[in-house]
Amino acid sequence: MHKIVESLNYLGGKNMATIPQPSERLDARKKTSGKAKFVADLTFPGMLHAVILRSPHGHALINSIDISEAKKISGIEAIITGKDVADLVINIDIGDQQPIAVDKVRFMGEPVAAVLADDKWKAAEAVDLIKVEYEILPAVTDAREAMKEDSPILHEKQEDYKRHGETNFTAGTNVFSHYKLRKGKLEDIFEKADLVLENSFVYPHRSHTQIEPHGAIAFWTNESEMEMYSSTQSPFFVRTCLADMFAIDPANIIVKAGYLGGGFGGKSDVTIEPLLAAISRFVPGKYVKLTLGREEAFTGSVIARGAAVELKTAVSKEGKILGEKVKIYFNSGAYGSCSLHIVTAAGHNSSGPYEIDNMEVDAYGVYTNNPPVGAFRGYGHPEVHWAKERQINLIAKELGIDPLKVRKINLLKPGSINALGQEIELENGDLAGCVDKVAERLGEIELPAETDNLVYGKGMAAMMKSPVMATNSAASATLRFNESGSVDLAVSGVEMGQGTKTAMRQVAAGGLELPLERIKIKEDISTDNSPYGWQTIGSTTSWKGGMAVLDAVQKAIDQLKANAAAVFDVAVTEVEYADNKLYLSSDPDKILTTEEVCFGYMRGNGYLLGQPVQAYGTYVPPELTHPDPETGQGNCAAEWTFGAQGVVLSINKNTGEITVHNLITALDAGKVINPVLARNQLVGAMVQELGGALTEELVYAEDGKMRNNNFTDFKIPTPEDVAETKMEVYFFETPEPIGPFGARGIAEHGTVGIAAAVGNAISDALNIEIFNLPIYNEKVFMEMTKAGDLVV
Amino acid sequence: MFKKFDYYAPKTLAELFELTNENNEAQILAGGTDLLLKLREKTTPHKMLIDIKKLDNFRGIETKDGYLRMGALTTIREIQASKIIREKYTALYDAAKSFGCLEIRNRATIGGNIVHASPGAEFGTPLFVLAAEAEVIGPDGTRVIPIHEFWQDVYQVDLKDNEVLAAIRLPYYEKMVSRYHRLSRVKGMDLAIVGVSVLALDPANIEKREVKIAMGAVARIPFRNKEVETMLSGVKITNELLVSVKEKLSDSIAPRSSSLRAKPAYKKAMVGNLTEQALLELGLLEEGE
Repeated sequence: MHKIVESLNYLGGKNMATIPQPSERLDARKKTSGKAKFVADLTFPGMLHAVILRSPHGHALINSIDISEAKKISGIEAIITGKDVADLVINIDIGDQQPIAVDKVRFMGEPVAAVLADDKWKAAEAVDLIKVEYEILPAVTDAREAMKEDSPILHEKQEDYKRHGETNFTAGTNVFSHYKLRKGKLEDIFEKADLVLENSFVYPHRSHTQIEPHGAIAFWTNESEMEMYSSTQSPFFVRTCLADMFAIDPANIIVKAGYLGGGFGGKSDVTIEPLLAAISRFVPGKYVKLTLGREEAFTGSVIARGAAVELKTAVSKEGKILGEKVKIYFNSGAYGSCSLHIVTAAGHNSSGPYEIDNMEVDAYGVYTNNPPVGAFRGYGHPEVHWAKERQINLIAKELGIDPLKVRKINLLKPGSINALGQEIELENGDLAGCVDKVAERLGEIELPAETDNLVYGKGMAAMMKSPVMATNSAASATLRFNESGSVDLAVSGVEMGQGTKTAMRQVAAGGLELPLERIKIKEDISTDNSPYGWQTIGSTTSWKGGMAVLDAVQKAIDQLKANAAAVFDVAVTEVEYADNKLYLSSDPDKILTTEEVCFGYMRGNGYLLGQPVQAYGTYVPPELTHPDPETGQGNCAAEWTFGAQGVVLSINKNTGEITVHNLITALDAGKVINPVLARNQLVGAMVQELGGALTEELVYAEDGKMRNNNFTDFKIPTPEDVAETKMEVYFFETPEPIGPFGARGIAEHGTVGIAAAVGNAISDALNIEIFNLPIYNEKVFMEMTKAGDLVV
Repeated sequence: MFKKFDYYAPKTLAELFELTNENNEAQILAGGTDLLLKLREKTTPHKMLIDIKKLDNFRGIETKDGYLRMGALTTIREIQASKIIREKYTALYDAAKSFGCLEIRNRATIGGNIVHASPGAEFGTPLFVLAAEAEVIGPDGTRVIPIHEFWQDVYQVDLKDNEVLAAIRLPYYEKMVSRYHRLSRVKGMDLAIVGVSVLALDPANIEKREVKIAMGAVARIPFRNKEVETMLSGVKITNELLVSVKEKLSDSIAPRSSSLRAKPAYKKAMVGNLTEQALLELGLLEEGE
């Protein structure tokens, strides 16, 4: 791994042993008492409501749209169809999508028309009166099917699309992206190996199911100036995308984000914002609100995951992986931009946390007639870890050795070269320690005696995760002293329930050595005056945002020192800052308080020495590059978090019902800034991923219709499902050199290995092997029956 | 989103019948936990909702004239909390306990669950084995209908446009035990994949013992297998008998293959296994052999 900066010595060598701990989260009382405002709560005088007519079909040509009856409803301000906005293209990376479908719909839920009215009921009534004549086309809902020659093609003219950067598409096919990784040489490795194991694994589509469905309000002053409130994780990114779509300067667009009722990546790119911006432009001077219903949130935003992973692994009899061929078919849905980089991330993380000298990875992003796939907590990692960590156990089973041994013989360690060609160093974290910890815990947990009906199983997975981001993905912070000596702080991360504001306030307090209550942090973001932040994604906000806060802290301290130096009439190098005070290094009894100098020091006659202290901090992960087009390697991962996870479960042999008794994560967090928030992040992630492991799967009919876009039939875990589950989280703290106080990202990481650990535990319990998620009761029972383990 | 509708909440039966007489397409609103979904799915015409929650006639659990009467507005939570139901009509208690989640149980009513007549309705199979009766009230008076006749088809019960379900009556037997078991995809807040109720009258007296079995979410309406009931009644229930009972139960159902909740093969296996579980818990299975 590239050595980059020596930030442990940041702030003059101070390594904060203790960071002030808040007694509770900043947003806790507002949210639990209903005082916190979300986009759906906002209302403005004269505000219009938008309701969207969406395609009921997975793939169809639009032959005609008749809005004559709909127009007759009173209170209708505008009805907009694709033809009215046909010149607008959403080009995040690939300009393959338009805000409203023009000639053809490619997924169920794609916008076909929009009605703006002074009342939502009227708009909905009008939507029901719009008549659309469709010509149904054959649909494809599976990535591997979509790559076959006779598959329906979603985008006939990929070559005509504008793009930002290379995407390696194949014109005339459904492949819009092909990420290639080549490391070492496979050559005759498969012939020479003691064992060659080939398996195929599937991780289907899920939904983010944020408790707050997507919502936004737009207001155009004139046709080139707008502001928007949105439930977005990425207000600045929304601004960039809208500016590109309308070809106007980003400065003329203001995007505001307050609290989010969950994001999980599903609000991180753009979802409803281009649509709302396009339709509200027809009614300048009026606010227009669009909020999705639950069913609409399933089909009208982005969905999650969806990958088939094929592994061919060459192994020595000791369990050492000699080489691996990987094929990943990513079911990206109808449009590619929001999953383009997930394909890459899945590709270069398919090695898992292992050193594999010889690798060939081909990851394909494939168009299908499903809603577009976007980022979801884990971002490609859970998909490939599901395959890789199951494969490790299957290798061990074939060789008749302990899977822990196979893991340990292959783990990345200091000096290893990972798939990207980066050298792993000690400071990347204690992967082996995490693996040992989980193995130790699994060993310690005593299982009740098995009965005729009940069997128990234990399983584990090792894991790693890195963020995937633009090479210029900055985070920023502003820090301003008030006349009282208190501080106004703003950071670029959005508060979506992860507690980022609470944590950033702690970082500032730690850096400034101020009590927490002296720091006030701004909880919402407005792109016109908030510090710039690329996106709130990738478990990077505490890490990058924290570095930006520390940069601002350092600059503020420098300014305080300069002010004090003017008072002392010495060179600034002779002033020290500690414990909220400034003093002369040569005479520590000469002291000025921060309060005395933070607004400039005023002499008796009013003469001002120095300046009010205001600092702007920034952080961009250094030295990042795009992957090399041929080898797929490069410095594309700024930091790694290593860990391991474990599961203990029981299975009712009469029914296949699974009860999870322990969920375990050991993770090298670098430095835990807030123990309560950090643990909760991991617990939340484990439970969320348990849904992916056991029950969550979007089901499509052959024609591409989604059959379970509701909570009746898309089942996520409930409190009762984990009522008997002991949550165990263990943190290692090997400081990250480029993290604030040594901290690294942890927010998504609890998802990465859980599904595989569940699969391995089921194998342990019943000696049956599951390759496709989710592992619901029925699947377990039918596999058991097939294995002849049980008489029905 | 659903469409606009008119909302009425009558306080007396007279007011109720005035409304229902004039509005054939009015929907009765009790707890609303099923109706709200129907409104969202736009599967029901719903220009008018008549909320019957203000009618006290339809509340409460009471013993009366040799039977237990549950007002149609009795919430699932009230059923779950009732001592007599837990002890005497255990299958009903089991159904209440596994119904939805706490919030839904606080809101949903027994009447609504039955009138909605979903194939997997939680209270379907318990009421079928308990030989429940539906007490229906209309402007012309009260009718009492056996549950298996009242429950006509999927989403179809024997209610005229101007009638409402007032109560459920359960006959009282001195010696009666029952259990209900169901499977679902998640443990909290889910519909039943399949459910089975087993009841035995005079359970300790093998010769006089009468066993009843009903299966839910396997056919259009709750389904009692009389052949299996005959096989199990008045005899020792051995493992050998159980094997053929499970086979018969499995053969007697043909669940639809389009279900999102489970495939037919799984349901066919589960009806037998859940029945076995219930027989075991009721102490009806012979030990050993």
